[in-house]
Amino acid sequence: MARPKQATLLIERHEHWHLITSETELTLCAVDCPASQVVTEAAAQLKPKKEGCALAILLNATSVLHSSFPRSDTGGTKARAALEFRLEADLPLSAEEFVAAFQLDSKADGQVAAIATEKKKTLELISLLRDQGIELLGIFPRSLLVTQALLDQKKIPASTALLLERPNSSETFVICKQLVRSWRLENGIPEAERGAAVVLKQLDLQLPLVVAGRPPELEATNRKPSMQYLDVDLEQLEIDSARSLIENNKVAWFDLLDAASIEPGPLSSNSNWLAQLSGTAACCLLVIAAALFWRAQETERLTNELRRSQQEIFTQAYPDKRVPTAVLARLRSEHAKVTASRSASNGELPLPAPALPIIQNLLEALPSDLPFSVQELRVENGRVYLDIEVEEHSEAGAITAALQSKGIAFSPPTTELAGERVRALLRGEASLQLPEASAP
Amino acid sequence: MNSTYVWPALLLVAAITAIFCFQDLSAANRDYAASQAELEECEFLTEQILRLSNRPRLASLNVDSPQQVIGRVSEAMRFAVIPSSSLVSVAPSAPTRIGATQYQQRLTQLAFQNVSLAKLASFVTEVTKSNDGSYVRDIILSGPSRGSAAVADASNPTERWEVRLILTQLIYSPTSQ
Repeated sequence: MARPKQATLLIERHEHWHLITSETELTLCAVDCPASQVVTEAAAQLKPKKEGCALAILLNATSVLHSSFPRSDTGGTKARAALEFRLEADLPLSAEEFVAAFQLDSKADGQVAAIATEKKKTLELISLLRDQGIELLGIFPRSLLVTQALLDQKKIPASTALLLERPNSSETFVICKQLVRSWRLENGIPEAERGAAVVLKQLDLQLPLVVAGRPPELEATNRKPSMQYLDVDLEQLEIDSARSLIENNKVAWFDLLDAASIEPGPLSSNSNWLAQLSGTAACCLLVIAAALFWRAQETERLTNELRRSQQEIFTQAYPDKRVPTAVLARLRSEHAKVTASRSASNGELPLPAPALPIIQNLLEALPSDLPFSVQELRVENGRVYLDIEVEEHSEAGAITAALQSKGIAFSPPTTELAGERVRALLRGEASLQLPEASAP
Repeated sequence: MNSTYVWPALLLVAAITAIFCFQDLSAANRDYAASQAELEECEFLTEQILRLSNRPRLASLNVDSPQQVIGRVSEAMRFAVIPSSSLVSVAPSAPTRIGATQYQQRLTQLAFQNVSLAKLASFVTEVTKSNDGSYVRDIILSGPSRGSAAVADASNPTERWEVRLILTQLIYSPTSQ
């Protein structure tokens, strides 16, 4: 992203937040206001001016904690988790409550300088700025920017005791080989001087004392010969130092934004459990969805195989016919036709009784030793009417008995005398003979 | 977009995706079960069709035209060596439905004169042999010129009958078609 000509700075000072743009310096809400109000006011100033919507935050010394410890305490490791675990022992906050930045001596037996700030407030600030579309370029402690600038400008030696005198407070730094061994907040130069002496004694160091700032105590009449005095505008120096770091892509000694970026995302700062729950549930649901999708595809493949089997079955039954789209419906239709035309098993088929087999049976059953003549033979749908002439009445009964022996049920014959002969009428019914083919 | 809503939005999308996938799977399972049942029915129907196809046809699937009926009668008469002068009448009727069944029947009344029993049997056998649902249901024989000996001896060349018979054709004709 293209940097603005002069980076915008959001500075936490003694009483208020200040917004320093390339053109103006604006005083915002008090330092104890909620982060949302700070961001809202800053965004209201930035967006109409189209300042590039990117800024760096400069924290007051009251918002930052400092500690230093030997690298040997963490076994010489540079691992952030180990350093934070060690730092937790020196701070009134648990490791979960702060974000920290570290400055390590290059030697494994050297020192580690650490600063920390409250995690919840910092992450909230970052989240709100990002929600407003404002890019954050860095989070720097104001006084450490001044210290780094004085060293870079070689106004102080690499190892020194530096006293920063501000209108409302004083700060004491003990710096050894550009590593911040001690950083204390004091009330005025005399206390800062005493504090520096105590620290130097504790650390067993003999370092020159340098006082930087522009308070009344720095007037020539009050100066002590044992101390070096630097007449600098600390507020302007920290602004220049911050802009120089940003615009020249230099590395600050401490940038709490880097540490905060390692922390979980903005949602986690507000409702970490909700994000974890949502993420876990989303992952589980996606895995379940993938499994369901795979299973559905597999089932669909098996279904297609079953449909192909239906088509193969149809081809077996009708090899010369084109396979229809609806195989089952076609087979049902064909089955209905075949059943209706070739099977009497459904009981609906009104099969007629063939007359010829009945006549053959009847002729075979007629006795050959009795004289008679057939006047009429009617076979109508299984019913038999036989009109014959015999010599005597009794012969009609004998003929009826002979016919019944062949399975044709005749009722007793009706006889009447007709001239010299006797006319007999026989009525019977033959059992139905279905013309079924031999079973396969 | 506010990053606060990223995870809940992702959760919502995942839930909707899972619901759609579940519905897809349910539909696929229903299709599979239906296809399996259809396959079993196809196998059963095919086995029945193949088995029944070997049986003679009890009912025709098509209605013979009157010309076809007369042609078949003429063919059977030639087979049975019945002179055309013996055929007194041929009276085909229109197909009629048999009760509430899915079948129709066409009755064709035939009348012969001077026909022996042997030729009549040969004629009836020939005219019904095509296995297309044709039957001779009714036969009326009358006026034998000889006595019992003539009836018993069907090969007697002097035996003659007046014959009326009904040629019945069964036709499968479902009412739904």
